[in-house]
Amino acid sequence: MPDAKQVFSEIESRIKAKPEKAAGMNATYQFDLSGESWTLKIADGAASVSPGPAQSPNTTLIATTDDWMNIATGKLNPVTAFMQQKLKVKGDMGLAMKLQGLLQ
Amino acid sequence: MTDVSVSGRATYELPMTQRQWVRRGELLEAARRVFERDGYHAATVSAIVQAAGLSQGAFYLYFPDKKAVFAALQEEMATFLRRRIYWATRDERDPAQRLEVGLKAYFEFYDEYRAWNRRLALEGLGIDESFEARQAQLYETLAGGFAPTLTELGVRSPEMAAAALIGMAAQAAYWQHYQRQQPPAMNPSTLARACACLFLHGAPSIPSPSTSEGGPHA
Repeated sequence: MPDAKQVFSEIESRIKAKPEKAAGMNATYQFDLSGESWTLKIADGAASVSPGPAQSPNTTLIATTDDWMNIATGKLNPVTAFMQQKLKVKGDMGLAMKLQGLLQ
Repeated sequence: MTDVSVSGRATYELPMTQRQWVRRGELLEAARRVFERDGYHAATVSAIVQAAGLSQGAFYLYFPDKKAVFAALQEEMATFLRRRIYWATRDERDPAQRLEVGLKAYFEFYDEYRAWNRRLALEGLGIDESFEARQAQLYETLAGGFAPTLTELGVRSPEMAAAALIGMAAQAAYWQHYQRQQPPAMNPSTLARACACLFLHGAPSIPSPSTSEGGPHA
């Protein structure tokens, strides 16, 4: 089972390999996962990931690390997770939904 | 293992609001339950909206017809399966072990969504060419993911072998859930080991149920 860092690194490298996936996106995501935070910044078709909270995130996703990993690895449907309140979103919901495409 | 995307065509153009995203998800989930219960041909839009607790009008905001919602489900489930196999195998260095954990992820998925997978096997290829093409694309994508591992294992025709591997896994999963008469059933780990042994070393190498790992099927 991968860890959260590997999943974020994967998003980073996928965008690097296919910048069109993030074309036109300019967003800062914060992930609050069981007490640890991660920041994913996407701008001009490039992504960077760093541990810790963002200064002014557009979207914050809150979940347990386990639930987030299950979403990222295809074991938990993100809509189901949201409906069951396993995944909470603060801020721009549209950006949160775009994340689905980046995970594929 | 190579991660090759299964192309997904949005049936609802972005941007969606949160409410729309959830509604669409509810419809997909309800549709899956109805297709699993009634089959594609007997399922109706009325049954789907009833299962979702939504109005008929709400359905048509997201999908033009039954065929479209089935297609969207087929794509969503393919994405989940592909992502599971990718993450299960991504960091496994030993190719034989990678083959086995990839098969295990496949069988776990089949196990979890067995009714859906049965419907796909029975009806998915007989609906029309677009469904067949989508299913063929998934198999091709999965095979493409396994092919580099088979190359590492010294297989000389990895593309053909990977296609055969996926076909074998699909048939083994169907046999396990719908044809096998004698208990105990094999769990995903046991089934994956048996398939990996069969594929790499031939049928005599399949561990007997008593010596293989794993207990009865959940």
